[in-house]
Amino acid sequence: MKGASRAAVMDAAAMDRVLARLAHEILEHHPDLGALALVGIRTRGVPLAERLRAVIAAQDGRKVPLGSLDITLYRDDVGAIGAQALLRETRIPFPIDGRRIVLVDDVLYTGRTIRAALDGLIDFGRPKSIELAVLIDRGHRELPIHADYVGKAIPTREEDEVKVRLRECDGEDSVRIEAREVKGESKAAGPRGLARPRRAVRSPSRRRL
Amino acid sequence: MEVVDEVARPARSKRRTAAPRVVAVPGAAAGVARPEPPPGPRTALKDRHLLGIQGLEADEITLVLDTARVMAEIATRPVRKVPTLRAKTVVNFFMEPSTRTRSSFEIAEKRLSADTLNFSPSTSSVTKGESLLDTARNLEAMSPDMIVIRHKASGAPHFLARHCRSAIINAGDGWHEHPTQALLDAYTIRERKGRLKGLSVAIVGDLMHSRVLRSNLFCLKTMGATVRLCGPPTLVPRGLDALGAEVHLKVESAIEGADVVMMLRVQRERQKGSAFPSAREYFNLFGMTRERVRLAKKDAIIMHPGPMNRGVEIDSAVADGPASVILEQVTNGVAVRMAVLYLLAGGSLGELAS
Repeated sequence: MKGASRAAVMDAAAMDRVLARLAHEILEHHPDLGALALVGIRTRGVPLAERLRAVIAAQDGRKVPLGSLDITLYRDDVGAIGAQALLRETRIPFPIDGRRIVLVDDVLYTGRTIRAALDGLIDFGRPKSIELAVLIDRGHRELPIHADYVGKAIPTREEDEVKVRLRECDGEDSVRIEAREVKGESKAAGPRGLARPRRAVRSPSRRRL
Repeated sequence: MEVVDEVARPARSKRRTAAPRVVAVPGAAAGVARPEPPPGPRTALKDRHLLGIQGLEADEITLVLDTARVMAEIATRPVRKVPTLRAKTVVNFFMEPSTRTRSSFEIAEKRLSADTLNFSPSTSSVTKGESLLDTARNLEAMSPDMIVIRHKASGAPHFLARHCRSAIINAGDGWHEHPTQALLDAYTIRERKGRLKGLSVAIVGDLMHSRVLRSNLFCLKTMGATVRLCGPPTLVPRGLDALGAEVHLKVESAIEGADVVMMLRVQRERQKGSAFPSAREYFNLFGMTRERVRLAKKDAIIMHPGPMNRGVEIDSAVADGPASVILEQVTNGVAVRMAVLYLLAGGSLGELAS
């Protein structure tokens, strides 16, 4: 059971191919690279953005501006998490006004990170457009957000964990799905597909006065 | 992480025997213990209040300084504000005059989008004879998330911490501590020198009445710097050497070869009688002049927590000279206070939500 619940989704060679395709898709949509800029979302979006830039540079010869964004201060759950994530540096070393920005992240899940990233990015100016490139789209969106460039869309269950490892921060390139331990009955219903099952709307429990 | 704690503890327990901790917060501490952090770099402070530097571990101070660095970047953006503490209320409860610290806290709160409320002697009922406990209870009844307190009585923030559910930040209590000042001083030194460990810091001035000194002493010692102190013998309290500082009687020997020279304000308002004959004599014996600064290292920096008495503890030529980082300290104060607010909000707000 446990063995079956872990699945390799991508190895290093596959990741290189996917990133090459994403870079070409970005190039196709932005034939004039002059306005394009990549912004990676901390932590793993940053090396991914760097790799995309390298592929674009190899193809076109031009290095597009690159930034990094830490969205911790824009999260909607500050304080709800006991020990918060370590703050990391935000570096956007170019004016973003009028630019066509491509945000880069590893996994697109609820969409809340992207919501926070949009807020954060807009505090730096008024870009002409913002698009989103992700390595993995695992579904279960909670906000009306979609990716413009998707490396691979994989159906997951909500309790699954998608683990992206990159050689820059983890020593190897891989993507795996791991099932989180669920107490009680085994939820062996199999992949439910990308659409997130709607939860029943619960009425708030009445407090006794 | 665990190893670091093991190493840090014996040194601190030695210090505790020398100066018993003033902090004892049984009421507030009960039931608010945070879950053990996962292994890895520290991401949260251990206590939900910032009452003093004494008792902070080196990696907690490092966490504040690292967080402050990220906060400093926000000041360079077109929109100098992040929504992190939106809808959180912070009360600035200042029972002593303060311009720098209060405005610094207020800007820090506003840059994090917190709602702020200012209490000062002229506008509060304390001048009408209300006790601190009653004021605290009334503040508490408005359920702020954090209270920043400056008070003339040492231990007032600890008292508040025992009676309030809000997170308390000490913005200076009597002669005791001024933790955010020490953190911003450490931040300024670290940004300039790249490190704190192994540096030699000379602190000159009114050692007796200085909470800035006490917080800086704890902070610098915890971070591995050497601290040399100098002041008029009438303003040197006993026991400073037991806290790990070298006490010098001559200002020249204290400054010689120092990486950092920090002046303290002569606090006339706290001195009973006169500790020295005249401001002029003080300046002649202890004032920071260009000639004296030359005794320090070539790249030494000059610091002052403000407000300065020009011509008493520091010469204008030094205060406005190239080695002075006095205004940098003020700028860094905002980032450091943002870091403290952010780190304390993370834990305490989660605790209030449950």
